[in-house]
Amino acid sequence: MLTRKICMIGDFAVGKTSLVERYVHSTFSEEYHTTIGVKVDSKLLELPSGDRLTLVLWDIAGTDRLATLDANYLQGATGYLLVADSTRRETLETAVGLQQQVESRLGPRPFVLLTNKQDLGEQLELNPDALRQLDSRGWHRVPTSALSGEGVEKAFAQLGQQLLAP
Amino acid sequence: MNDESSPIARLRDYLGKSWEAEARPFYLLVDDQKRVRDAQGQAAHYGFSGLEPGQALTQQLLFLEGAELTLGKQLRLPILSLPNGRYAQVHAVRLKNGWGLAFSDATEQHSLRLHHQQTAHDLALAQRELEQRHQALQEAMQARERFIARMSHEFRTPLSSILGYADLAREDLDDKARLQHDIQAIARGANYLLSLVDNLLDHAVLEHGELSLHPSACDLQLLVQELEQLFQPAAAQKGLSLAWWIDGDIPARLWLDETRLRQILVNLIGNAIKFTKEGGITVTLEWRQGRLKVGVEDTGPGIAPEEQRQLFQPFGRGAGGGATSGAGLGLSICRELVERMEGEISLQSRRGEGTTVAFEIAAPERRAAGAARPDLRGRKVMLIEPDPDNRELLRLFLESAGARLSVPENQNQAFERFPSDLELAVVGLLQEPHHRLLLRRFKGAGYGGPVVAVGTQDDAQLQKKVLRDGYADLLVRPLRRSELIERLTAVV
Ligand SMILES: Nc1nc2c(ncn2[C@@H]2O[C@H](COP(=O)(O)OP(=O)(O)O)[C@@H](O)[C@H]2O)c(=O)[nH]1
Ligand SMILES: [Mg+2]
Repeated sequence: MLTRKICMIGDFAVGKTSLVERYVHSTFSEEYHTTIGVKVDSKLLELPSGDRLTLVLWDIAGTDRLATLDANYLQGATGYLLVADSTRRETLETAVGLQQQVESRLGPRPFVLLTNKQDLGEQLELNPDALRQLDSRGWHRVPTSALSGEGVEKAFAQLGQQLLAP
Repeated sequence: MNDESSPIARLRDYLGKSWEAEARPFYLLVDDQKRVRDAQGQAAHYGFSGLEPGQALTQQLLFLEGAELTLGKQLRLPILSLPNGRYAQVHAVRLKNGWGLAFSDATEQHSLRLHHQQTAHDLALAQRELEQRHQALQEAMQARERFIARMSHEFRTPLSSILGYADLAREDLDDKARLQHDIQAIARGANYLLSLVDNLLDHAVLEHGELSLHPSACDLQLLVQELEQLFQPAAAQKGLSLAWWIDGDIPARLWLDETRLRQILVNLIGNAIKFTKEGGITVTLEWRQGRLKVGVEDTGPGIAPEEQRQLFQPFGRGAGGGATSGAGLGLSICRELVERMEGEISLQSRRGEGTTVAFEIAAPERRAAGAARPDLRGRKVMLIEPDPDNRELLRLFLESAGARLSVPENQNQAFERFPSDLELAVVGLLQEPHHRLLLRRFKGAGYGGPVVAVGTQDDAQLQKKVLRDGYADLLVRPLRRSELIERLTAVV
């Protein structure tokens, strides 16, 4: 069976750990537990095509943005999920910056941008122009909520599909 | 030296054991398919069990996925979070046909890092708060500076007019008519200054939320007459009309704080006259179901919408200059006062057409007990007030209300010839404990009637205390005649 290493990339407290928890264990916690060090999880992904793929998900401490770029962390990743917090404008800028750095380390790899915390409807504040600009660059973007589960399966499936695409 | 029982060997064994107890090392050899080849150490601590040769550890060694290192290269994970909740430091090295791994306990590193992160987080929060406070402080200081600049400008105008007319007066000493005119101008300037100072003080009091209301039965007709007298000359001088529309249904007496209502009207009418160049000012008064509605309309230049929003703010944010400079504080005080009187104030304005400020306050009808105006006709009243000027003013008020007065110059004189038919005592409020001692002297003289204190401090706390100590009421200066008589009549 195919196995692929995937990294969670994004600013502090955008919901990386929560998204993995939701996707792998179908749970969500309001509490904030800073991730210290590395946590590795896996989940079997079945695509509509019938293809099956084991995703090995790497989640890392979030306070230090650059920790996510640690060589040991990125080593061997075939793709990544780029996460921004829709209620904090600056996290999208961080995501864009991190994407560039990851690409310079790994070379071009499939990734999906997740604009997380969509459930906090009234507080959404990502700049629509900036998002449109990313869309026009061909970025795959999925609005998600680790709380409600919205978009989470879709985001992982998107990435899986890109990983299998020739 | 290499003797197993040599001291250095014993030290090595001892420290080695204690390190092992802490680090809990676990060594593992797997093949390319991650099947166990050999294992040694505290496997259970890291959630490994069985570890039969050939057993596949794919699930436990997920982190090796993708780490296709070249021979001899190492993968090092300082803190790996394990499914069993523990933390391990992991070294993995690529061998010819598989992997060699070393695990050691990283609980301590984990808590250190956690602590470090929390501290960093707290620090970041504290810093952000500090920055916010700093900014708020800076803004407040700037606002205050602007305010002071504005106020000194406001003070300068009447002051220079007072000084100018004082010079003129010196030259006009022999010309009575001109002297009269100069003195009037000086009085106008001084009055304006006084209202500025009042506004400033009120602003300070309102900022600290200490202002208390002193409602009494108010005769609106009288108030209007007084305001008319106050403003008519200023309006006439600018060629403006000052008209009053007074609803016929307004009761003779309304229960409200007359001083504060007067202050609001003085501010609004004063502003209207100040900014209007031609046309006039119309003041409307209506009363319905216990509420008094007032409108002050002018034909002035009007106020731009963006300025309107800031008018009721204490230190208006914008540049503030132009047509409305100086008005800001007055309006913000008006708003505060109106709100304290359970009301609302609003402003409507159009550039070039004029401005209307309207407000509404609670003003229940006060039916006079026995139709007649309250008075002290025939009542025996003693007045003890150490300050001669205040004493004189109170004496005039009391006399005009028909009281039979006894006005000693000091306490001793009062109690030497104490009137046996005394019905009411009015005394200047003394410092503690003298105010209580004075009450005792009244008792000692055989007087058990009401004693009313007159003070200068507008303080709800003090008010409560004085009443508790046995005074019938505490009146606060500046006193208006009607309020004084009303409140005194209420206690005799
Ligand atoms: N409302 C809401 N809260 C979320 C969502 N995802 C994460 N959170 C909360 O955001 C905080 C940070 O999440 P976490 O997953 O630890 O962020 P990480 O630092 O990126 O791993 C936690 O308090 C979560 O409960 C979401 O989709 N909606
Ligand atoms: Mg996390």
